[in-house]
Amino acid sequence: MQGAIIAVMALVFFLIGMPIAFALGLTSILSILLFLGPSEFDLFAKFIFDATNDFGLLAIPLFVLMGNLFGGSTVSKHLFEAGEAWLSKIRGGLAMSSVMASSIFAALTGSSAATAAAIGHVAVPEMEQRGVPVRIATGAVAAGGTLGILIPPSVTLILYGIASEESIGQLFAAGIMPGIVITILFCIWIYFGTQLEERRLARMAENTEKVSVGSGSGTSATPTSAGPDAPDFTWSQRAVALLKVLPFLALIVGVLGVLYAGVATPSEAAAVGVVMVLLLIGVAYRGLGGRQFVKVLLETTNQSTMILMIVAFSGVIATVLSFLRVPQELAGIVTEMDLNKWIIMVVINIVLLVMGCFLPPVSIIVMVTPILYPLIVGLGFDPIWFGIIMTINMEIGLITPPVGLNLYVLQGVVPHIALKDILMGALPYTFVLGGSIVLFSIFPWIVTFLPKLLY
Amino acid sequence: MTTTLKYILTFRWANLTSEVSGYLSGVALLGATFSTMHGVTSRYFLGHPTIWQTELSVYLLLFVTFVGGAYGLKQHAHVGVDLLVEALPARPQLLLRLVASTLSLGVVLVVLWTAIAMWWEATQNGWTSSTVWAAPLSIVYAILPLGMLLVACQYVAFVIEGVLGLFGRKPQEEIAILKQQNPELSAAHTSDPEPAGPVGLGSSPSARPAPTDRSM
Repeated sequence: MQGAIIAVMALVFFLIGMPIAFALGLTSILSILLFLGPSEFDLFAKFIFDATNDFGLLAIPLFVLMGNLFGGSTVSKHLFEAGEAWLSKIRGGLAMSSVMASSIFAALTGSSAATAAAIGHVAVPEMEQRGVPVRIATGAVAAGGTLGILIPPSVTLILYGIASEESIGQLFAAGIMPGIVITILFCIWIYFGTQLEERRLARMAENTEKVSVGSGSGTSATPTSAGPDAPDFTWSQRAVALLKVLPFLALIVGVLGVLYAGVATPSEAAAVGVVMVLLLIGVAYRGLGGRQFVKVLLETTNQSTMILMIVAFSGVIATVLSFLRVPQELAGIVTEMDLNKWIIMVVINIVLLVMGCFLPPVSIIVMVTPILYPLIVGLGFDPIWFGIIMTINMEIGLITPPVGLNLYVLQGVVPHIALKDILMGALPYTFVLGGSIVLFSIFPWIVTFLPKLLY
Repeated sequence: MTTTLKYILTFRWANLTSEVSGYLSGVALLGATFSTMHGVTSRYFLGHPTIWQTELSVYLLLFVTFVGGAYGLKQHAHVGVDLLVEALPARPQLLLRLVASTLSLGVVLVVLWTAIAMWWEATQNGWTSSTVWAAPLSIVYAILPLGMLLVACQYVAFVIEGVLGLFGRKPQEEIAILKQQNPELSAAHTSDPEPAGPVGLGSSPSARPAPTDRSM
């Protein structure tokens, strides 16, 4: 009951447009006044301070900084070109290259929008110019970008790890295989989707030709440069393209290496990563200008304070809720209902999916994890596995309206493409992602075998 | 009323303090990076135990969170649900934005008040952190109230501006709280081909907010 009142209060404050952090703050102030009494108030600042006073959280701004440093560099271009050199002979190969480039870029940053923006502004114009249908091009980039929060480093997995007190290293390891599997599934969809889309466009072109007589100058089929008649790449060209991305692959291996060799904690690995990126950009590639660097720092400050303020205030509300024993009660009620645990999992996923349509992943993870964690463990689910399922669920939210952030990010990068085309292009991928949740539920070892191997 | 007095009374200077807080937080970010890096290398290569590095990095993280919060507010980085608000016509929208901002200001003031109490207690008793480093908590506990003070000032500036707009004393398009949340939420530098941005201290308060990545 108290839990329901608190939820309604939070919902109202969200809907009037308060920043999520302060909406959570106001909810906790009112909850303390209503349910705990004003004497607990003295500890308010202490709760906020303690929620943020965590070395593990430092990984977030540092991985964000690392991603932002990459965003301004030419890495996305090199990644896309390497993918193209290897995949151009396959139907839909260019779109596959952008998904591949996204998944590698995702391993350099913990954010989805950053991935979609970085790959998008290189790949979409290139694909358009080469005759890839616009929906295939934008869908691949918008959906590929969502891999940013699944493939380590991942800001959402760090937050889930801190909120659930699970090992961030294990969560990162658990994200790798699903990331690869989803990348492959995306490519399979592109293979079939390209054919469907080309047929649809051909039909549309035929219809317009029938209507407007005289304008038919042989443009009935859209030329595709990817596929069997794509330009040839020699093996040496392919090798060179791969060589160009080698430093970045080395960096990924380096950061994950220091993490899994037990040399460093995730936060320390992030710091090592930032220093390595600075060296890489300073030494191997054209340096970042002073102004650009300041801009990257300010942008990182913005993203960090946004995330960490939400973490700070959600820490208070989580403390209040556990004082009131809300998570335990919820777990009790659900267990008493004696439903099949998979039915409960489906319900949880639907709730997360709906939330994901309106709220950014960070806020959902930090609000929901403390409440759901006792339930998940009580039902006998692996909490590491659930962290991954939740993250894939958040990925769907990033490409569905009304608040599908990646759709808007992409539109910001390629403003001449209609939002409708981006939306329609991304839509099939929500089913691919949904299907992958089912797949990982049937074969949970795809998620869990790597963390078990490493720890 | 003289221009200077107007500047002080309408809290327009808060835009400047918020801007400065952003730059300081950027420096704190770099500081946290190198402090952590120093900790790793000295522990791994030299075998020295990490004493102050981890702790200092966390305090710098707190600085970025709370002091950087003022900059984030000015840049509209603090994400909210805008769906309903943006569907409203201009005037009710401004009214609702004012209500939301005032409520947020209230929250910030409550945190500020309790944070000052916490800081005062630590300072009076000369408390230090319970580590080998024993950092004086009078400094550490000052970060939260300082940040909240800066955030509060920025909110006061927003609210005053909004009220002026409500009474037609300021054109709608110049009101910061109505410019909430640019949909181009990309990492700024990738979508912006021009290197020049709102760089430079005290850029005008009506500057276009930099888009912020909220996808995480």
